[in-house]
Amino acid sequence: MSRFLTLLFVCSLALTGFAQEDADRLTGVWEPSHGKAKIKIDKIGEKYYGKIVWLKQPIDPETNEPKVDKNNPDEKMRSNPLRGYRILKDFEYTDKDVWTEGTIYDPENGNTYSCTIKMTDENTLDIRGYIGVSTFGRTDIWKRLKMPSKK
Amino acid sequence: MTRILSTLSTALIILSLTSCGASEQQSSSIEVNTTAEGPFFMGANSLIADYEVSLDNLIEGRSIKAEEIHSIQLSGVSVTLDDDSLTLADMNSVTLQLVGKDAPMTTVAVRNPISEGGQSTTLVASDEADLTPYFKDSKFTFVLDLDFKDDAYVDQVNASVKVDLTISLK
Repeated sequence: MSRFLTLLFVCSLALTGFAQEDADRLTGVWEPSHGKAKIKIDKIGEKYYGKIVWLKQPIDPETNEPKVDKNNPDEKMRSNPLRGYRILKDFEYTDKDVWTEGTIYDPENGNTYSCTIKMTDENTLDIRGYIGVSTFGRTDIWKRLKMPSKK
Repeated sequence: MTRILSTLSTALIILSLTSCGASEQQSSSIEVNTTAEGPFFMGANSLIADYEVSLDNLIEGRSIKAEEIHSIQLSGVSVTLDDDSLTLADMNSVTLQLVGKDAPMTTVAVRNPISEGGQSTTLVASDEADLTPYFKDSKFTFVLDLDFKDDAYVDQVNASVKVDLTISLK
């Protein structure tokens, strides 16, 4: 009986480990379809967050300064730099390659949308932003940025 | 008669509005030590600290319960780098975010650009951020993003974050 319980315990630990590995596949650097930014997804605590690490046009032509979050609804937070800004927040892994409960922020209009991430293959994400129910939303396809292999 | 009814209803509205509001304000400060291990690369690097909520010690000389809290707002945020190996002149900007198990990550204060060097700076605190959900949990996390101008090959960076709070009680 004790042998059975030990086996059960070991199996449950292994399953938890696999689930964790599955969830962590989301981490890495990703490029949205518009190609104007690159987003690095990290894990903080048990949730996943994505911040802008690269901008095609990092300088605001109006100010000639690095771009800031000028459309943020909170006026006092508008000096926040866009490079480094977390646009994906609070994602939790469910299962079947889906991360939910998160939000995506669009710096171009200052709006935050509910969001679901689905990994369709190791290097492709379907990012679906929506208001209310996910039926009414828009899906963007992000590609994993691969590091050039060193020779 | 219409006039009396109108006055009465106005009085009732005012009464109900004021009864929903806070009846007492208290000030408090908390300090946490955030940390991250290097090396650090150009761009935003996150220093993290978990904060255990203790409502018994939040207001000096007084224990409060979660249900007594009407709102908790920021009144000031300051950041001090604890090591001499780096100064604020090495950073473009500093951003503070909070995140809890059941409370979403929120940006609550920012300093951009950093005009001074040295080890300490104050951040511009959000007027709108309501910190109440974080304090109603047993713990939450401080995420301090330091935007490095260049790569920094140091083992660790520590920064203390002092947060001044205005606590409105029911």
